[in-house]
Amino acid sequence: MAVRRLDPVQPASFEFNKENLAWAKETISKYPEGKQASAVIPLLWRAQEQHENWLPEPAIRYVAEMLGMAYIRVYEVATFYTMFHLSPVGTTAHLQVCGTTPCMLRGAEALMEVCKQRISPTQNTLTADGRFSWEEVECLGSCANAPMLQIFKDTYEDLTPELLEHLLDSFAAGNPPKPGSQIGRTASCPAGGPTTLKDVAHVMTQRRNVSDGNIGEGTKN
Amino acid sequence: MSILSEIFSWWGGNTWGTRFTIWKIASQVGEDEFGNRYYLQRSGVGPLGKPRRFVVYKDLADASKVPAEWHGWLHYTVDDLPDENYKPRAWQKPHKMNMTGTGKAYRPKGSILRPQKRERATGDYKAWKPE
Amino acid sequence: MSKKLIIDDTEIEVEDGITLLQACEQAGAEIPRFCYHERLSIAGNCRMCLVEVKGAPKPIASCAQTVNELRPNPDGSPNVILTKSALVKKAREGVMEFLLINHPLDCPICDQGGECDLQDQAMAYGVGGSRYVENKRAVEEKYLGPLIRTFMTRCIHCTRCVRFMTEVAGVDELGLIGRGEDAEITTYLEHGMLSELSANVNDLCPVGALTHRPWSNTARPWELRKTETIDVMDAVGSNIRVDSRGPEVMRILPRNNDSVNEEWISDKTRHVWDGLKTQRLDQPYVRRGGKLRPATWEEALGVVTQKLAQTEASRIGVIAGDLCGAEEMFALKSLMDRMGVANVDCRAAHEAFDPSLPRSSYLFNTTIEGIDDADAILLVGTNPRLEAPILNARIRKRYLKGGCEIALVGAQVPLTYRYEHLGTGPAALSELADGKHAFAEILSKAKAPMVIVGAGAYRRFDGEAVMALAARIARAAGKDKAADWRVFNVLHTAAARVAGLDLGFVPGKGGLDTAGMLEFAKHDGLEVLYLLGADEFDMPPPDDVFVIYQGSHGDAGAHRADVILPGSAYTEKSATYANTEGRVQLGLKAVFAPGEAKEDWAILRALSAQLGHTLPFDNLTELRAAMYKQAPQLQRIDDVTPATEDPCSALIAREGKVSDTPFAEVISDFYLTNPIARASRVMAQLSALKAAAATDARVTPFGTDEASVQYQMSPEA
Repeated sequence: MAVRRLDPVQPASFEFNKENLAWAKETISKYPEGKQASAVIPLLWRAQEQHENWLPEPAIRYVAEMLGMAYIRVYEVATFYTMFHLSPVGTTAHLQVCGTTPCMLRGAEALMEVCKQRISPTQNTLTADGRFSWEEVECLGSCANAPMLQIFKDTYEDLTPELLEHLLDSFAAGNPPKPGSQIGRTASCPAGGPTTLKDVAHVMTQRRNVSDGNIGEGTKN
Repeated sequence: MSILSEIFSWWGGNTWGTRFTIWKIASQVGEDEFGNRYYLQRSGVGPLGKPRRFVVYKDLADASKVPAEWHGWLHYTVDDLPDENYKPRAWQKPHKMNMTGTGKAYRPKGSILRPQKRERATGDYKAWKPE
Repeated sequence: MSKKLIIDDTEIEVEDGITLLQACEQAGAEIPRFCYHERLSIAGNCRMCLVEVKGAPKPIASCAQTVNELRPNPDGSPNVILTKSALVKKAREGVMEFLLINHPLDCPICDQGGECDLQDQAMAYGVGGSRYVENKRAVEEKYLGPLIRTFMTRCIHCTRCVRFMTEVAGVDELGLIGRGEDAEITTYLEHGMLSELSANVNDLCPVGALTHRPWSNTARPWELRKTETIDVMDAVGSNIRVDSRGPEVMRILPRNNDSVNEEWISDKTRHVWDGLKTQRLDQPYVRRGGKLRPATWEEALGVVTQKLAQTEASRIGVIAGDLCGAEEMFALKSLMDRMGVANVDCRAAHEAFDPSLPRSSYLFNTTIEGIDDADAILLVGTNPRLEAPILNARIRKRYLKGGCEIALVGAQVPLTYRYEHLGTGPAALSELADGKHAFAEILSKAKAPMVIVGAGAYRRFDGEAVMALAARIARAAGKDKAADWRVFNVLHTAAARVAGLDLGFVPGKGGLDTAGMLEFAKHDGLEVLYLLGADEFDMPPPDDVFVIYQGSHGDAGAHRADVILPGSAYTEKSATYANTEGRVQLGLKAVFAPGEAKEDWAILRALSAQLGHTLPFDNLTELRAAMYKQAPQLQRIDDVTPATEDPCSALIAREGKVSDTPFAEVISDFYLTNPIARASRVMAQLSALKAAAATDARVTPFGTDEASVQYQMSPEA
């Protein structure tokens, strides 16, 4: 992680669009009187979503004024959390590649190598057409499906360099693949099909025994 | 210099004892522009694990008389003797011994040993001037 | 209830709720710390204050743990705390090593060198060397305004500065951006800090990350002569230490005095220091042929003597300014009494004070420390944030404790606490006095109400009537309250005022006050006007009147003067000041006056001899003896003589018709309120910064508390 700075090129102003404004008001109203500042993270997040997935400086002031906070207080929040992007990210996809231990053991470095080749040698750098960028992030909580990466709200799991190449191609073609595991498994089920509870007859017997009361009370469900 | 002072005093030049010791164990390796002579131990090493290096001052013995090029060698900073290729840097001034304690010592303006008066200090405050 | 602890073999009983660090201090054990500060909230992020608690698995940060949080021992014996054990030593060495990993070794070029917490504690608790060979962290310098110079690589992230600005100064200006190793202290996009108390963060900074820009790299703390004296920038009388080298004042720092300024001083108090070196009057001048010409003391005093001797006493006027010490006012008053001059005044035009009323009618009777006990405060025609920033910080401190209602009658100004705005002028005050307003009930129900009358209220044509209204409110509020609780308070803006009133430096029988004298001068009635450091009014037009100006700085008075007698600034004389509470404090001489300038009382003594009205004292001791005879309360240095008499009835007796004019804001520019400040380059920079802030998009356009008020009022936002 490096020092994060606001982008030198900033829009002149920022305002929520109509539906986001309505949403923001509702969000603020969830918090008790005088505690509106608690809504700062959701509001910043929504501002980022509205503004091509990065947070411009006017948005920080806009949210601060909306919540009655000093600018510096919102600025602190925006710079603290790395999920807030302070400079433009790829419009089509911003790849957040998990580089924490499980993903690293399962080949995250190879994924980052692909990113370096295909997108840019350095992190948080846009491609020439501005459509792609990538960065390394800490654990995104899909360790069972490592290695994985996140693009905006969706995670793409069980990746290999080849799958990542394919993923990038599909995004470039405007045809993003289905989020989740890229090798077709459901959630984090065993990759080669189930390894337990395979003998159906045995399972059924067990179940019957339970309903007949042949097993101790304690295990009855 | 009388023989007696050569035997008993060290500050006017080297004593007979020193002269004898240096003659016995060391041989001269050079002489600087001021006439100070430099000696190197012929065999064996001194307490620093290297052959000892000596200086014999011309006249008054004062450590600040050693010029920069010899100072480095004498204090084991460098092992090479200053040779004919040695050229002082452009910014180097001619070597001068420390004059403190002598009649030629530096006396700033305002010193009671110097006739000139020190200028009044300025910049303590700026006076107001009408109009 | 109290709790028993054993700290380093000493058994001690401590109060409930205090922290382990405080308990250790009470037991006499010294605990090193960086982030902990008595007057700020607890952060617990430097980890320097680790102690060992017997039974706890790890060393404990003593600043962040209260004595009640300790796990009781199974056998009920008191907890044992060790501050000198091997574990503690090792923990401190470890913390110190971590702190020094990224701290540059630039002490020789650091302004904090010699008075640096990190330096001292590294010597006391650190190890000799570092095992760290990697590159140190590099951080960009930040611009925080003309007062603060940053060396951000030195920052150890204690966040004392952030907490000070938020809690004490009450302005969310500083923040800690980024996280972890990349954390940085800054303002929003590096706008200059605008708070009146911002320079205190330099004192709080335990390292040299924030240093004073105006005097950076000019002096080392150990080469300065320290003089403990009193500030005159406002009527609070902050305790300061003037550090000087040779003839020069190098810096001004606060001294701790819990009853006055705690340990803060305003930016003006601190950085007016460069004004002491510019625009100085260092020789007498006499106007000849329309131009001021340098003169000797003999010539100048001769001209003054001649002029005063020739003029009829009723055509001589004397005005004393805002920064005068009691001594020179006493000397001048005595001289004028001898000459039979009745036109003397120390008050600004239309100030409704009268020393013949009880002394409590012009004092801050609750005392500054008393604010801590108040539970309802009514501000009348005052902006304490500008008139007395230190006192304002006290009100904020009280506000933060909770349970204190604050209301303001006067211009709606941004204060550092939430207040109810009751109105802008006397009309709202009348309503309150008649008990028609809801806040009147709050005041009467409060246990310890305060009414603070500011210059906007008492410095106007109908000042007496306004003060009568305020006194009525105070009397109603003070009913059935504790016998020693005083409700009525006056907040002065000038350091000289209370001592002047104590000395009776007001018009004698048939004499004119300041406004009267200036009016009289316009109509060719007044022939001689003697100004003792008085600059804060429109000078009478040229040729109408012969003006003698005695003072330290070339300002309005000196420009208009016909004779200038160079006097001393407050750092150049020993003088007595009474602050707004009536607390008498003695200022000491730190440096000599420049050039031929003399101490003011001595000038007046010399003048009196020439006039043939020789004053009966030849030195300060004799002068003070005579002064104490006239105003005995002035000899109680560092003490407040309680003005026990109730001021309200006397003030109410002066009741009159009030106009509808709203209370004015008396201080238009906080940084330029007196001749010394106007001579200061730093003050000019601050003033410009403040002026530019109005259009600076980076500056949050409201204070935090007002913001929440605003939000509640307009849910559309």
